[in-house]
Amino acid sequence: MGTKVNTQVLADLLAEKAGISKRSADTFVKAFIQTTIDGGLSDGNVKIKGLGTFKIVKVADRESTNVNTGERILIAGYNKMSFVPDIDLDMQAAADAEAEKVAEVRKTVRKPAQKKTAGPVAAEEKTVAEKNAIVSEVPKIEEKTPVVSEPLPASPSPLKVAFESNKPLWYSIAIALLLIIVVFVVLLTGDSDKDRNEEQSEQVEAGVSDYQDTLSTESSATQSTESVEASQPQATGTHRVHVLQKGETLTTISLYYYHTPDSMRAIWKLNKFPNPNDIPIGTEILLP
Amino acid sequence: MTQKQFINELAKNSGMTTSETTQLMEQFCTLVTECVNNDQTVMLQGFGSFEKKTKAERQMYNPATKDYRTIPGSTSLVFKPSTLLKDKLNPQQ
Repeated sequence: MGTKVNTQVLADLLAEKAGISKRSADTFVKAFIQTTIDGGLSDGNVKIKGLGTFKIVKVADRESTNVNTGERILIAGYNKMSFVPDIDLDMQAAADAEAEKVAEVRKTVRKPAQKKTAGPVAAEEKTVAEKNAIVSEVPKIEEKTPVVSEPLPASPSPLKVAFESNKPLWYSIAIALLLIIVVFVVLLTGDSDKDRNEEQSEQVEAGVSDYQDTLSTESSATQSTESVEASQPQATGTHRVHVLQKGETLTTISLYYYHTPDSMRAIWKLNKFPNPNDIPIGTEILLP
Repeated sequence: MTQKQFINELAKNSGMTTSETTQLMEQFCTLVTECVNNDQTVMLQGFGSFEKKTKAERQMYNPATKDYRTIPGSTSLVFKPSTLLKDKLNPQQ
């Protein structure tokens, strides 16, 4: 430890700091010591805000053995003074630093916050021209939506893109599928359902827009399976990786990441270890 | 003994008013922590000494979860009672 500060020096420092006479500072420090001891003796504990709590703890009598003679001896009980600090010195230093940081952050945050609050006000004060511009955009979307929604009612957006890029190909596939369906229906149902077949054949001839309805159902069915197949390898690419350290097991990893040992089997399955009890250190383990 | 009781008692012993004592007590506490933070030992005769104790960083093992955790080091205020205080606490010995 560094230099020592005794009662006299501390009293002088206190006198300087508080702007009181050295004598009164000295009496104060002495009174502090006296009061703390008296308080401890009378009450058992003394709480001092900003410093800590002094506690007088009674240590009971205890038996022990004399190592040399093997006799049982009684160690008499005694009182001891314990001290629990009210503040952590680290915490205090950190708190001071944090307070400064917070003050800085507040300064910087206030400026954008003001901008943000000004934002909606400005939005309300938008000119009529801007509003008209927004309104004019809305019908455009509405015009587009029926075109998109009618041919592809249930298909997700990537399918639309794929569909639009390969239009002629899809038309031909759709027509071929329709013809196959028609042939199947004719073969299965026979004479009684002839009227329906005629309707379907009429639909084939009707036009491009009508084909899109049926096409969407067919294409969405085929493409959805494709998209599912494509999504699986992508999902494996997003697995977290844990590098096995010495002393770790799949169970500890499972506990660490999922707070349950039950995920161990899932990790084992995913990584396809032949023996989960014998994995070399440094192995990269994929986490489900 | 609570802070209030302590201040009242201290005011009696030092012959000052309660408000004066409260202010002085605050300054006294900050002075002690400042001195200790500057690696100084505050020795109060007949009472004990206040020191700074640095606790090193250590590894903790939780046998239930088999988990190793690093507990960061810290510095804390430590009070060491003097022999005079010990004698006062144990008058019969």
